Amino acid sequence: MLNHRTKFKVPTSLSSPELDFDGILLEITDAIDSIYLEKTEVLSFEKLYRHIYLIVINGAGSKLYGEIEKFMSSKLRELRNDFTIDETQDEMGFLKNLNQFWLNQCKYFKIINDLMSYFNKVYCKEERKFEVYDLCLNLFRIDIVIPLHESISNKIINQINKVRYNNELLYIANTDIWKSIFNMLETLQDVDDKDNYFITYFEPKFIQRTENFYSNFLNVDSLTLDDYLVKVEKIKSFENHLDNYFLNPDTTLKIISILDKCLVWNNIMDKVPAYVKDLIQVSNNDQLKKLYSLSLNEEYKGKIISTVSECILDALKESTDNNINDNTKRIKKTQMSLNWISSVLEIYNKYKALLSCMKTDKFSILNENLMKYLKDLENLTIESVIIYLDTFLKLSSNENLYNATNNHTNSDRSTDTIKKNIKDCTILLKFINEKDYFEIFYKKLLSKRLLQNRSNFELEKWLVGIIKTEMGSFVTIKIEGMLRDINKSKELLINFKKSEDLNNIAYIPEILTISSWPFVSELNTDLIILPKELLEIQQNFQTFYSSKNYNDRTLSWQFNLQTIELRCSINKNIYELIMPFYSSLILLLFNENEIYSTSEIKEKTNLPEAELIKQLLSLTIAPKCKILKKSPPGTNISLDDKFSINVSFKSSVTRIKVPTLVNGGISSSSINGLGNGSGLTDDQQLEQLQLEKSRTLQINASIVRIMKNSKTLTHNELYEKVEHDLLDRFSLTNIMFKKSIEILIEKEYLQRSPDDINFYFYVA
Amino acid sequence: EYALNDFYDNEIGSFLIQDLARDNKILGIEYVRPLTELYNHYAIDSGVLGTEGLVKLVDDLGYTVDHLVTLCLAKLVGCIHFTTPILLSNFIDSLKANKCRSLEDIKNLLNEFDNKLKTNGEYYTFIYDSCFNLLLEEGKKTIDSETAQEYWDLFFACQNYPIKVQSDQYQQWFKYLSNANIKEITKDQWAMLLRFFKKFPSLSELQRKYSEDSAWPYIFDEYYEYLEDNNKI
Repeated sequence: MLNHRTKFKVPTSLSSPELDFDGILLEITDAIDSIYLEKTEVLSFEKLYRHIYLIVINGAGSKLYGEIEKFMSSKLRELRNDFTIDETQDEMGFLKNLNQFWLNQCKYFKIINDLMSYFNKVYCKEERKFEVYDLCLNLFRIDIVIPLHESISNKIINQINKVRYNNELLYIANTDIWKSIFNMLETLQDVDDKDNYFITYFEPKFIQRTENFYSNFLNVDSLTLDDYLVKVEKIKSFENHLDNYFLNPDTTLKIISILDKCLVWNNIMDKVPAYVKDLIQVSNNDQLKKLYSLSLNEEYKGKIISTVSECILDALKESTDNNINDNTKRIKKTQMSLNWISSVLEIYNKYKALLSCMKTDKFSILNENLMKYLKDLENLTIESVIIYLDTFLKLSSNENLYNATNNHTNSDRSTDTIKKNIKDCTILLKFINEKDYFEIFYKKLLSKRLLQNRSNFELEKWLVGIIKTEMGSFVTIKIEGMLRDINKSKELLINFKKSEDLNNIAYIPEILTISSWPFVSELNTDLIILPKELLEIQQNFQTFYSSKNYNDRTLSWQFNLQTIELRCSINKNIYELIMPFYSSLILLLFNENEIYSTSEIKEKTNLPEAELIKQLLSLTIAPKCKILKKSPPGTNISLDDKFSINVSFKSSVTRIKVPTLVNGGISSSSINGLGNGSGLTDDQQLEQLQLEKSRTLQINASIVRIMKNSKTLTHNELYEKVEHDLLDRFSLTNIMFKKSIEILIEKEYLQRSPDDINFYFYVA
Repeated sequence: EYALNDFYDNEIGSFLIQDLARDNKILGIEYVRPLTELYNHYAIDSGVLGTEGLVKLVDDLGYTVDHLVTLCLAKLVGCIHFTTPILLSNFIDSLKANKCRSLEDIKNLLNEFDNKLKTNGEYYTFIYDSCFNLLLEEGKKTIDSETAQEYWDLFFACQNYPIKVQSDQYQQWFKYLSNANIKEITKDQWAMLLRFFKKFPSLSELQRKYSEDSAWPYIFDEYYEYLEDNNKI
């Protein structure tokens, strides 16, 4: 420290005995004047350095600092007054002058700074004051820029707005001047300000005026949407381009977002819903994408999305009105289901394309809306989806495919198209909650397709695979069992044919596992008397089947599921009659005798009376199929009535399906006793009751299982657990749950807590 | 079990009394004889104290049968259902434990019960809960709605008891029952109604606080819906 000081210390004897401060100051100010006159060559820097050195070591630094500040300030003010006179000249001239003035000052400040470098280093640094250069800049700010603030900013912004207005980069050269002036503003800084002059004082004004400028720039009402989108895009890219010339990136971003506000969301927010609806109407996905990507504003994007969402729901509701609620057209349920599901799928695909085109992160609104919509139509959805699938699967049957390829007309019927239609429909599966009902209804139609060989077996297997993935294996376990049975039966048939002589009768056995199929088992079928030929086949098959050693499987014959095809000659015409098994038993009797009474038929077939009467009625009164004649005629059958072949029977087709009476009426599709699968029947009520019963049992079991583990739970805890437990089967409702709870309290599996009704105890 | 009871009551009544009498040399024989006499006096339903006898007894005690103290008395003397007879042993034991040996004593006891019903919420709830079983006919799990309503009237109509329910609430409940054609009341429903009225003494309270997500039996959800449909709330 001591050494350090001595190094700078000049012996007093060497210094001037008296410091002539005023003289030195005068020399310095003269020198500054010379610098301003750009006559630096006359200056003796060596002498000036020495003077300044003397002032500093004599402790007069602070006095000098003050004097310099005063001098420079008055100099700048003086120059400003000269400069201000020119303020009246045109804006660009003013800006050019200002810029030139600024550049000059910087040059002078630099020289002055150099001149005083010892002062800077020893005095300013020690005293923590501005160096002379910075001192000058600060004075420039105070004495030039602040007084001229309005003038500078107005003029430069006017210039920029003029370019914006003309929308062309004619004055591109000027951007250099702007850039330089912005640079000046960014250089200037007050001690107390965190940010520079540009950011603190200029930028807010610039942004404000930019906003004012663009706010009324586009009159949306007079533009079509297309024109508007083009214009906005053009303006944005122009502004961006322009800003690149003279503006720093931060401010550019702010300007662009102001543009967003003025041109887009502030401007067209009210019109967005109408625009979106129009674009959706004409499926203009590209324009919609442009509209959506026009702004990053959350509210704006949200508004577009909520409008799209609204449109989805509206479209779906319209579909309900057109297809389900429309009572003016009397169409069959099958057709209604096809129309409705097709229309829902069409809507789905349309919006799927639209949303992926928009590249939005809100893609989920499609599924959300669809789910909300289908939830209220749960059972109808299930039935319609299954009927839709059923229709297409039936198109895939070999017979239908064969017809299609021969006609070459209907391209809808190629396997690929069918597959695509089915695949499309499977997206709806995941919206189905009541999976147990789906299973019941699906099995009903599937059993019909399988037993009547109405569809392509490979396609059935493929679809069941998809159902399994979408809905879980709980739903498909029995359905898969049904497919397995059919497959197994085919194998059996091949082996059976190899080993047996079939008497010219084409016999197709189908072994159905009782627990998988939706039938009520028919009892006491062994009492029925079969014709010799059939009995033989039955016995042969029985022997063959038991030789296979399927452990623990017993074969029981379900005649009501069987169909028989008979070839017969009536009045010299050959007909092929396709009929239920029991009908055929009656008809075959007439091979031996011409006339039978009711009681004789009963005796010879041993059919239960109700079945007998049903079949006799079917054979005598069904339209176009009156194969038997009854005497006396009428729709009542008594034991003494006589039956004979109706010899006057005539039909234009050779293959005839003979229907069976169902519930007093004729149902053409009721062969095999499956009922009218696609229409609402009386069975449905029964079905619903059974469904409810099975659900109650499942809920009860689930509650007991859970309570056994937990011992005590609150109402809501238990509800959630049971709901979760049954999630892959059906959706639990409050009513079902409470009813089960009450049953279990009644049966004393559960008890309410005496203190708090919301608590349940498990009673072991 | 009942056959065995009959056997005791009819065949070996005297033996029983002797047996008891021996015990009561220690415990106080003075109760057994008068209470047995009392029992026999009212055993007018083919030799046992049954419904008829109980009605007569209550009548003689200066109360009507439709007073809630009847339930208190029945509960005290070990009556399970009104339709099943009261055993002599239960009759003697319970009354003896309460130091009763004359009609006058029992009358005083009933006055005490009456007072307790009005002031002691727990006791009132106990009697209310017991009432369901008393009304139950043997082998059944529910009581018919008419009977239930008669007794609900006793419990709620007079407003003298600890759990008070405003008459609009209580009248609507009855209207709902007849409207929804409800014929049977389960034990759970019976028990929960008291809690329900306790929590929602008035329709406005019900409207403010009821939630179908809580554990109230389903019948109350329907009642609530009925009130909504009929603009009562």
